[in-house]
Amino acid sequence: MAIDPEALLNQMVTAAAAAFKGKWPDVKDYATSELNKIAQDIAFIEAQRLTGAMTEEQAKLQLHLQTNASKIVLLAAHGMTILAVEAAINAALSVVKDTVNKALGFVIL
Amino acid sequence: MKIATTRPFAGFRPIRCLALALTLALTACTSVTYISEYDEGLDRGVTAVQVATESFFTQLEHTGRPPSPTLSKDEQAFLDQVAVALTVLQTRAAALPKNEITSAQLALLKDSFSTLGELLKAGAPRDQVQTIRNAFNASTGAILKLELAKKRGGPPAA
Repeated sequence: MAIDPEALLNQMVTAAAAAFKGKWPDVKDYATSELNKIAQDIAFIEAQRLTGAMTEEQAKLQLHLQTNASKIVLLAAHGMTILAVEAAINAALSVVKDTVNKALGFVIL
Repeated sequence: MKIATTRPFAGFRPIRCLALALTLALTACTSVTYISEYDEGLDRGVTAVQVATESFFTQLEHTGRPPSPTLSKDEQAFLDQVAVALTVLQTRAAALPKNEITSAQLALLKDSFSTLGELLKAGAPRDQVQTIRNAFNASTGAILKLELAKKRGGPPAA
């Protein structure tokens, strides 16, 4: 049965969204776009394999490349969610900076 | 008998203690960092790998590559050059604190280039080169995307 790239993408996106939880919106566009390209390439590999244009060894090696690419993309997305948290905390601290400095009577933040 | 009470913190009123605690807490985390800073050397290094890879695939797309148990001199030279560059970048990434994500990405990319060597031996017909190229573009692109996000201090705008 041929792989449907759209169905494959939906499965990957659903799994990623669940894993990223509330942080998913921060990276959704980027990750979905990249995972879509990878899903298309996996479908192409399968199509080539089904027509005999690609050997089993070539298919395995190409799928390994696509798997690595997916991992690298999701790691980037993970890093970006960490940056978003970092930016939010630093913004919150920045907001209280003037209040704290004023209350204490000297600049500490 | 009246017990003499010593009050070592007599000068400190509760409100002052609270203010001090708050100050210390805030001083300790005025600016939090959970991930490494942007590294221009890594940015340039990965970009150089990306350029070399694109050049290699442009050539490969013209000719394709028949199966052969050994790599050509040019193929071996390219893979050696990239392996050395990635090893240097891995060392650089590992030297920076809180840089585990980038280190893991570089390790995966290095593994992909090793797989590329095997794939070239197995043969890469012209019409299959684009999917291989896409995997490398997505990989180097993702590493650079994260590095540039570090520079901006947040994820890219949607």
